[in-house]
Parts: sequence; structure tokens; C-alpha cells
Amino acid sequence: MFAQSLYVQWKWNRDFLGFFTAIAFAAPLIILWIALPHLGLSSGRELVSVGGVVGAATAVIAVVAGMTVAWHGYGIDERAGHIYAMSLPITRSRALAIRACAAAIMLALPALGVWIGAMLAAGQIEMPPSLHAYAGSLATKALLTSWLAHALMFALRYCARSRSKVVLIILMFGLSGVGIATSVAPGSRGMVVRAGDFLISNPGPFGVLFSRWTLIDV
Amino acid sequence: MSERHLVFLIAVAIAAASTPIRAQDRDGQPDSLLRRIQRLDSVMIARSHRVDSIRRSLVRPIPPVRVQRGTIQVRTDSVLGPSVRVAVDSVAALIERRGGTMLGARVAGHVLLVIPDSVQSAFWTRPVVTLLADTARRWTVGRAQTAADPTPAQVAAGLATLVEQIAMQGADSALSAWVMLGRAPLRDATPTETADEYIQMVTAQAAVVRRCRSRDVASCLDALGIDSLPGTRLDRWYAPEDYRSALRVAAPPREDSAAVDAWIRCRHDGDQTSCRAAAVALPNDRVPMPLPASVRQAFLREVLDAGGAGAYDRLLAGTGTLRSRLTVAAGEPLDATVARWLQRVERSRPERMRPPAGLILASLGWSAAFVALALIRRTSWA
Repeated sequence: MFAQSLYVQWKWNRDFLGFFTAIAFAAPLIILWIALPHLGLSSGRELVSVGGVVGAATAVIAVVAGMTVAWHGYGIDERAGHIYAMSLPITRSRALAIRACAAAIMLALPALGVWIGAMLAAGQIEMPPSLHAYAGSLATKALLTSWLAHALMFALRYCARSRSKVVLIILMFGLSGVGIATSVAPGSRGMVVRAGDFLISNPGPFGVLFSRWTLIDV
Repeated sequence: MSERHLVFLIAVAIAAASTPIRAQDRDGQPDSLLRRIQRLDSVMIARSHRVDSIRRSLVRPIPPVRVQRGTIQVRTDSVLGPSVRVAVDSVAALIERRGGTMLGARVAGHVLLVIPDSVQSAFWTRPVVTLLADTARRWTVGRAQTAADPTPAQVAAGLATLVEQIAMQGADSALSAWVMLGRAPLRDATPTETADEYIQMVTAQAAVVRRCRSRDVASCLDALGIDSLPGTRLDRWYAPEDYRSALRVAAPPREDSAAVDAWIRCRHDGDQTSCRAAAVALPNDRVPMPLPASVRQAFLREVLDAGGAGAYDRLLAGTGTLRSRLTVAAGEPLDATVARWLQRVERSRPERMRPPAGLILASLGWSAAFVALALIRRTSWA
């Protein structure tokens, strides 16, 4: 059952996955290829800056890959009226769990692309002894972030169903409203800042996304 | 004398004799005095208002609650009082730990204020708590700000900042110019400061810093701006391969068009010959310093730590070169202080990129929780 479900999801998402894996593989190489001739190979501070650009690009790719796989998977199923899911001799919860696990396995591909691309890119640099390449850590964070982004979009799509776009718009307006409220009603600022700190720091939900992302660091 | 003349003289005499009588009998005299008094009163009140206004513009109203521990005296309001009391205890301990009469005397010369305040934000004003080094509205030595409902630790951090600023107030120009930041590093370094120091040291694109990291004490003192080696700054601090990096933050004088042209080619193309031409055209005082002021602060903290209580007093009272003053403050040869500082810097490498186990577990847990939201929802597929 799981293998079959994995195969079906692979067929649905392979184009996107291929694209994101290729981008994740190429991004570190392309960024270093563009940046290094303009910076000078021996400059530690500048290498760390370029590593930061690679890290930021990787974070964006991981988030977009995770969200796309979740959004697209649900979209295909919805267009067919969920016939495939309902034809399976299992409960809805079990079917969704299988889908989430299959997506988690597939999302390892872009992370693998990040790891190989980052390793190759780091191999091209004559690194000063005080600096290190963190291809493995970058790939690990990319994997965790793509899983997190997928889980968020997965929850939104299967909870809100056809109202997903409305919920997304409401969420965006809500966040903007909170931002304005902190300025208009200063009393609420402390609470909002504390809530924001929790959300973006470890062990908050987005701690991994707002942690340090760089290929090259001390 | 004719009769007409006689009549004229009598008329003049009568007129002259009658003038004092008219003056003494004038009915408006008391009113005039009263009006004058009233006018003077108005002037006095107006001037009094002006004096009050000037006083208010110079000196803030003093909050009612007075908190004093040792030499530190703070005025605040009743709401902030409990937090300020706890904070003042810890800052008084800091002053006592750094010791010395000079620091105590300088702090005792100020009445610190911790007052509710507000700052302009994008659409509104935002309440904050402002910490001031004295009651003057202008020419205040130190100022710090913290959240509107600060914890005692936040108040203590703000007060410690003020004490550090007061500590450098009135220091001689040689020491002030070397410290650069206008505050003495009396507090212990935070983990962020320690990590930043390491990062600055290992990413500095300067030959003198690389020599320093390989335990060359003279190069360390040169990089820190304490004691110069012979030669120009460019020769002492930078190797040819560092020129391009140095020229990112410094440019040759605009009058030297050939050097400016080389500087542009160096920045755009990385041409080594151009970089060299531009670098040698830099005036000695325009060559960028190899290490930022934060590293000097860290080293000064090492000196004060080595000297223990009274180190600050010895530093300020010292005379002679900066090196000799720092040596007296540390109470040991500066070579030993530099060696210990370098060891500490090399030990403080931050692990910023390796994701800690807690972060991995938390991320997995949140992902699972979000997926579970979809699983537990009992609804139809569509």
C-alpha cells in the first residue's frame, strides 16, 4: 500500500521534485561561481558572506519545495474528486499519514541535491584554516525546513480544503493586522514580541527556519 | 518799567508760584504708583515663568523614589521601584567588584534616573523606560532604553551601561581615543560578544592579525593599536593579498586621479597591480584598522580582569604610554595578558551552523503536529 502510494505521489510530483533538486544542486555552485571572482578567494569575511547567500537561497528552495509538493498533491487529488483516496480500503487518517510519509521521503531529494552541490562548491574553494564548509548541516536544515513547510501546507490544505486560499489570505491579513496593532496599540507590543520570539526561536515551530543558514562559517 | 511789563512779570510770578501747588494736589499720584507696581509685578511674573521654563528645559523633574546602594544613587517612580531596587543591588556589586575609589567617586557624582518615557514609532508613540546618567535634559553623559515593563535584569543591564559610560567620562584623550566606544567594559562578556570577538579575529583580512593568532605578541599589540611596530601601517598590517580587502573600506585621496583609477580597477577586476598602486597611495592615517573597536573592548576587559579590584583606578591614574598604563592596570607584563586573551579567543569558537539536537527534535515534533492536525480532523474528503 505504502509503496503504491509513494509511486503515485512520485508520478504527481516528479517534475517539481526534479526541478527543485536541480536548483538545490546548482545554487551553491552558481552563487560561488558568480561571487568569488568579484570577492577574492582568500578573504575570510567575504567567504562567510557568500556562504550566507548560499544558505539563504537554500532556505528559500527548501520552503518552496515543501509547500509546492503539499499544494500540488492535494490539487491533483481535488481535481479528481478524491476518487483515488476514497477507493483505497483504508481510513482517511491512514491514507493521509501514508501521503505525508511519502512526501517526506520524496523531499529528501532536494536536500540530497543541496548536500552534493554544497560539497562540490566547497571543494572548489581554497578555504582558510579558520573557516569550515557546512554542507551536511545545510542539507539537514534544508530537509527539516522542507518537511516543516510541507506539514504546514498539508495541514492547511486538508483542514481548510477548498477554502485554503481564503484561509491563507485571512492569515496574511491577520499577520499584517498584528503588525499594525503593535504600532497603534503599544500595550500589545510586548505580548506580540514575546509570541514572535517563541515562534522563531528554538524550540518554537519556525526555529529551524530562522536559525543560521550558511555554507561557510567559522 | 511800563505797566504792561509789570502785569506780565506778576503773571509769570503767579504762574511759577502755582506750579508746585498743582503738583502736590494732583489726584492721580497713588494710581500711578499702583500702576507701576502692577507693571513691575507683571514683569516679575513673566520673568519668573521664563526662569521656570529655562529650569525645566535644563533639569528634569526628579522622580520620588530614591534607591541607593554604596555609591550608586538612582531616582525612579513607585511602579519601577521594585525592579530598580533589585537591579541596583547587582550594579552596586559590579562597582564593588571592579573596585577602586575613582569609579565609585565618578558614579557618586551622578543621580541616575529610571523613568517611564515614550518614543516615536511608525504610527504612534511606544512606551519605553529610559535610563539617564543625570537629571540634566541636555548634555547627559549616558542614556539607555529598555522595554516598558522591564525585568530587573533589563534594568540592571541599562544601569550597567550607564556606569560603563560614566567610567569613561573625563578620561584622558589618549585612552578615550584608543577605547573608541566611550564606555569601559566593566561587565562580563556575553556569549554573543565572545563569539563576535572570535569571528572578528578569524575573518580579519590582515597579515598582522594572522601573525597575532600565531602567538606573535608584538603583532597583537600592533593590531590592537597599543604599541606600534616600525614601518607604515600598510606595511605593518597588510600583506599584498590583503590589499583588495582593505581597499573595500578605504579609498585614496580624490586628488590622486591615478590612484583612484587603480582603486576602481582593483575593486572591479581584482587586478593585483592596481590594488598595490591604490594601496600604497593611501595616506598612513587612512589605512583601515585591522580590528574593530569591539575587539579592543574585549582586550581591555581582559586587562581589567587580570588587574582585579582597583585595575580601573590604576588605568585612569596611570601616566606614560598606553602600553605602560595597561601593564600597570593589569598588574602583570602585558605579554602574559595578551597570551591569555589569545587562548581565550581561540577557545571561544561558536558552533553556529551545527543544528543542536533540541532544534532537530523540535522541528520534527512541530512537523508531526501540523500533519496530525490534518489527520485528526474528522471530515469528508471534499
